Amino acid sequence: MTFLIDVLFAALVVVNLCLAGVGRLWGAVRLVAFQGVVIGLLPFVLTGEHALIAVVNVLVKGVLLPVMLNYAIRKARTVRELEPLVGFGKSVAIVFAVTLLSFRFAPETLAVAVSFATIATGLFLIIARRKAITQVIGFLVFENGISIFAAGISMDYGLVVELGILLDVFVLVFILGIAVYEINRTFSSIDIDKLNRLGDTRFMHAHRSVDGKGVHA
Amino acid sequence: MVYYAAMDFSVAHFSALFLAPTCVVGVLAAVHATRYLHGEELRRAPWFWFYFAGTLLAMVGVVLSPNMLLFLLAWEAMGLFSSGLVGFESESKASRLATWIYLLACHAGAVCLILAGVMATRPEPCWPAVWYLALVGFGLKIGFPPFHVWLPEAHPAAPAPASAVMSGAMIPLGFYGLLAFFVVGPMRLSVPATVLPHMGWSLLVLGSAAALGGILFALPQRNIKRLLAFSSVENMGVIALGLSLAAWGLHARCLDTVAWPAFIGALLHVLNHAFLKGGLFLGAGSVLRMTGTLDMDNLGGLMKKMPGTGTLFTLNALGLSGLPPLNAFASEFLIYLAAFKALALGQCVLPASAVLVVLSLTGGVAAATYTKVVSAVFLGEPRSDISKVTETPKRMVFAQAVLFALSLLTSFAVAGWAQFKFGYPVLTLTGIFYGLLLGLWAIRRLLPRGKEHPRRPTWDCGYAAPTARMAWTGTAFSQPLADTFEAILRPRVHVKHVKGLFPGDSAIAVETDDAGVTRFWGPIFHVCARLFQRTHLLQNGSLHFYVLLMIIAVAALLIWGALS
Repeated sequence: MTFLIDVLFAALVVVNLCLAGVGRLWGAVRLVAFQGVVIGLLPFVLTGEHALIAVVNVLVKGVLLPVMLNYAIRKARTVRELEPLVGFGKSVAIVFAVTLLSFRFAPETLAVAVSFATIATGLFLIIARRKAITQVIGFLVFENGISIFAAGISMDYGLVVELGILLDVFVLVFILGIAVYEINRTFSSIDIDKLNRLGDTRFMHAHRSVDGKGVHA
Repeated sequence: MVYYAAMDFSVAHFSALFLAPTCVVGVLAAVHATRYLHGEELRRAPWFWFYFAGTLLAMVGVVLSPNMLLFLLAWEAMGLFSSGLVGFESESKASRLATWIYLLACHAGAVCLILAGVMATRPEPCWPAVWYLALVGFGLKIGFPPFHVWLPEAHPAAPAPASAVMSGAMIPLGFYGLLAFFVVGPMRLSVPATVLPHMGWSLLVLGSAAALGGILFALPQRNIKRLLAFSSVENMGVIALGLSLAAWGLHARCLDTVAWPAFIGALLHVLNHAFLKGGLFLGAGSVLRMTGTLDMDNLGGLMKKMPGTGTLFTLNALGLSGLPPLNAFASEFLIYLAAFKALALGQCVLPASAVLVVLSLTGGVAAATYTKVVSAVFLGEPRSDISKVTETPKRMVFAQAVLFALSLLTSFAVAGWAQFKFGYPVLTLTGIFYGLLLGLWAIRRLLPRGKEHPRRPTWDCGYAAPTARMAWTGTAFSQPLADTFEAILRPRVHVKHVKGLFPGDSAIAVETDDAGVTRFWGPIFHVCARLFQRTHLLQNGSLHFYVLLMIIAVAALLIWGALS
């Protein structure tokens, strides 16, 4: 049994590294789906209970969310590449370094180290990838990391809370999918860098040009 | 149960003293406002009444609140409602700016008051700190320099009846707050006597600055309401000087000789200022309503067209400049009395002499200032076309008249009380001056009897064809005094010089900016704006960057938590 658990954790770490290196959207979605399945199984494997939660988890994270993401990608008709801000090689190196760090500093159990590594990977994906859809993927990885943590320290939420969290994630991805579609329709791109048109950067430049002289009591 | 107890409003004698101006000035200003609003304003009149009633309600709430929580709520409501009045003519840029500054002042004040309240409820409070916080919080409403900057902006922007209420009744509520927190009433904090010197010094310094600065900056103003606003700062300074002397008297344990007369004088000045300044603002409103301008250099000769308004405005102005026998004299006399008694007793000599010097200088400049207003607006020949100007509707004059009558009544009542209860010879002195006045009036009536005195144009001066352009404007009248204080006032002079042998147009315009804005807050805000612009580097519009910043912040917090 311990062997199986070790394999699952190892799989999770490998998936993290793959996510940093993968170049295609569909590949990333499949990796997240695989991670979801592993994480869905994790509590069941760790404790031998919660079969129902495991099934629902696997269905939602392994099937439903990837299908929705895939649908959003097709709807947005975007280039199916990740367009990284940080190159793939460097990304893998960074995720590797972060994983090493979490294994070095995380207390005791393997689960906590892996969960830290996964959370960091999710955040890294959010920062270092350009498309709105990759933000969603990054968020999912981040959320998976938190699930690993919960499972690893055998935090028993109970069925209702567990399902509630799943529902939250589901709704969030649903909304983000719609948002991605709408962003694409408005800006004919889901490149988040172009969203800075929404901010008050124009105001900022205007201010700089008058050198602050418009500001008075 | 607690909440019901918290709603238990109470009227102490002390609250009634501040409740009276609120209600009286409020009601009379409302009477005035029924005819003041006109034209485009009438369409938005419901909003005016909403904010006006809300302001009055909140002010009554402030005065009647039995505990600090309710007091602060009412205080905030008062600021919010009255900012609606300041921004009533919201299409003008000046009005919006005034509202903005006013709201800033209100909220900064509320922050200080809440901090003071929190500090005061701690087990071993640092009382001087509580006092200074409360002083800043209430000072922002009272208008002590440098916190007065909202006054000269807000008063000209608000409709005249609203300015009358705000200047006459709302600003002095700051003193109510100070007294209710530190001296009497159900909200009184258990302040030890060691704070008294702090109170004395701070009120002395701020009061002197307000009295002198207020009246000096009132002198060269061209806008009547702006001038009146600065004069409000001056009157608040006089009240603060009285209270400061009262604190010193308490500290030196000279109750009957120093503390009481100064205290009574200060509180009487609150009432006097409420009624007289209310009347002056209403009068200014009538002038604006009839002529469409408040610029003194374009007005003049209104006394013939608006005798009722003009006479009452003149009387109010005389009263407020502290000339005997009218009523600001009574209150200032009581403060003088306290100061002289202190000097005679050899107690608190430095504050008493400072109060004497400041009060007398202030009184002199105040007399000059009000002479300027009255003569520039109501006397002389008109400097613009006022042929269509008529007397204001009866009820506008009525409101002014009632306010003036009330101010006379109060000062007589208080003077009598002070004389018979404490033996301060206020009533005697006032009586002597009234007798003198009556005698002079009789001489004036009796002497020229039997001689004819034909009516001539004003300021005829023997010219063949005098025009209004020859007459002195308000700015010209105040110039000699303003030149004396040029170092403080720093007026901006725009001159179009006379050139050539056959000179064409020439002109001069003098503007005096509020030093609080140009020399204190302006530079501070400028520096702040420059500093805060650096933070635009962080706001570069990139979502990735924002997420990164958040993660760095969280990581830093975690590390900090782990280390400590």
